[in-house]
Amino acid sequence: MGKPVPMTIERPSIERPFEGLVGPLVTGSVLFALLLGMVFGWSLPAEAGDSAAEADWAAPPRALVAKTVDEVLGVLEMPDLDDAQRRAQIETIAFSVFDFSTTSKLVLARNWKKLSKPQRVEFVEEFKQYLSRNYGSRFERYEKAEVKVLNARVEPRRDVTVFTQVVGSQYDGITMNYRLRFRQEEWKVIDIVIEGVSMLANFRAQFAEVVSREGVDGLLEAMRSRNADALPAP
Amino acid sequence: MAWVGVIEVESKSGAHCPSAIAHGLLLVALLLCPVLAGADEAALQWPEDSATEVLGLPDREPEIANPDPWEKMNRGTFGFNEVADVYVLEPVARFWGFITPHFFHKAIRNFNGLILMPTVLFNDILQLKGEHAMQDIGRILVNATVGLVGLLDVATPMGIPENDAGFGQTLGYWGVPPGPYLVLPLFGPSSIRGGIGRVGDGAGTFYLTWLPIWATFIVRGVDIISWRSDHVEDIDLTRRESLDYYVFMRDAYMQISQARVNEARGVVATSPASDAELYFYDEEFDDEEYDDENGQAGSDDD
Repeated sequence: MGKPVPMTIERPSIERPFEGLVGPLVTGSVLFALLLGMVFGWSLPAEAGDSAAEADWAAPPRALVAKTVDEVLGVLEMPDLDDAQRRAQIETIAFSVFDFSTTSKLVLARNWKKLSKPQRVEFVEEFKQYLSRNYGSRFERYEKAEVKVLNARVEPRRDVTVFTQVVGSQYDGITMNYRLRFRQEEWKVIDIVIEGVSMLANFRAQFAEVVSREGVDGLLEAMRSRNADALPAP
Repeated sequence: MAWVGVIEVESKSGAHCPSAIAHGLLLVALLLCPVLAGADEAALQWPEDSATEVLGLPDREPEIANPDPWEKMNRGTFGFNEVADVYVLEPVARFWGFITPHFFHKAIRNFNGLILMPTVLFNDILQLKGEHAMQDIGRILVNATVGLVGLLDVATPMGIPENDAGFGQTLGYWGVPPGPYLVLPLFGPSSIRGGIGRVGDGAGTFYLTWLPIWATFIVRGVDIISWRSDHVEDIDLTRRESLDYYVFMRDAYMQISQARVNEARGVVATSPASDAELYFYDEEFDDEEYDDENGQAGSDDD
């Protein structure tokens, strides 16, 4: 223990009292704010403590979502594509990860049984085009964004939900959760839940309404004519 | 381990879930265990019921067969709101979006966020969420000072999350069912619970009454116009592409309000609908033949 080192504090000469006040006020409130943050120790809720086997099961679908998100963002950031090319490329990616036949069944629910076999094939095809219209046109107004792929969770009967969140762009902070199912030896997306709204449930409500008013033929006709409409320019 | 548990439990009926304690997080165990135990019965249990039961919270209300008994009246009000939007709000919002930069909208949003914070705080207290209430107080203190009276959101980058508790959500948290869907004139999609919630939320801004009423109208009005102008394309697209825009809005509203209640109860549900109802419908369909013939129908790779 040596002698305490003498400390000299140099006070800046204060010419105007106001100037002297601003600095401490700002630093003071910043420090105060930081202190608050530390005291209350905000943190996100701890992630679900998945057991090892559960994590193993959820890993491939999570990886698939991460890969797909990267691919889609990659296409969106390609500078030399026009809207049609961009849309075609995203369609290719999306069509390869979506299980349209499961989604079609789930979206029609009770009404699926009312469709004849050729109608089922047609519905799956129309639904595919319809989704492409609905989601494709949103990409045309793309602003630079990132997607954080968060944890994944095993759902009843081995489905997996992959939680993701958009960072940046006008959709900053929005949660998009993907529900995947392992079928025919492949992981495929069967639902997208945006901010708590399941796309599947929402389409089901709309389709049920059309079927109850106009029957399954009416629904097919409505989708056909909707898909035949030219998309207006964004 | 839990995955092994699934197979085990599925194979023998009535077995209790063996892996529950192995789960790190209590809630996950609560969510999964009863579901797995009942997995060999045709009807899967909705995880939320069991979770809320064990947590001592009120059970989820039974599924209402028709969420919209007042559809005729609601469609009328909805039509009126659409006219008001298309002829008044949307043009104003488009013009507003044209003359104001985006960061300005952001500042308006932040400012309104601060004004509405007491509402959030009260509701977090009513939901017995101590940590959230502390965060709300933190946000108010930080954003009202360092954030230049709310124009900047300093708290979020600092790691103080923005909570959005509301009175409708609080009612749902304590077990009040949403009741029938209800479209309010000018305010849009709601329910009985949502309507009461709106009134309750309004009471959270009691302190604004010392301001002249027009000032409050301007502050809230500008926020609504800014919000609308940020969503011109989204709403356009949804209006144009949905097969039934009214049903789209109704379902989205009902799902969002249920999701908010789930969130308040700490239930991370994939979708607000019942899991078995929404995702396992296909098992009732006897259409293996469809899959065999069109096995690749859904996978047009390349």
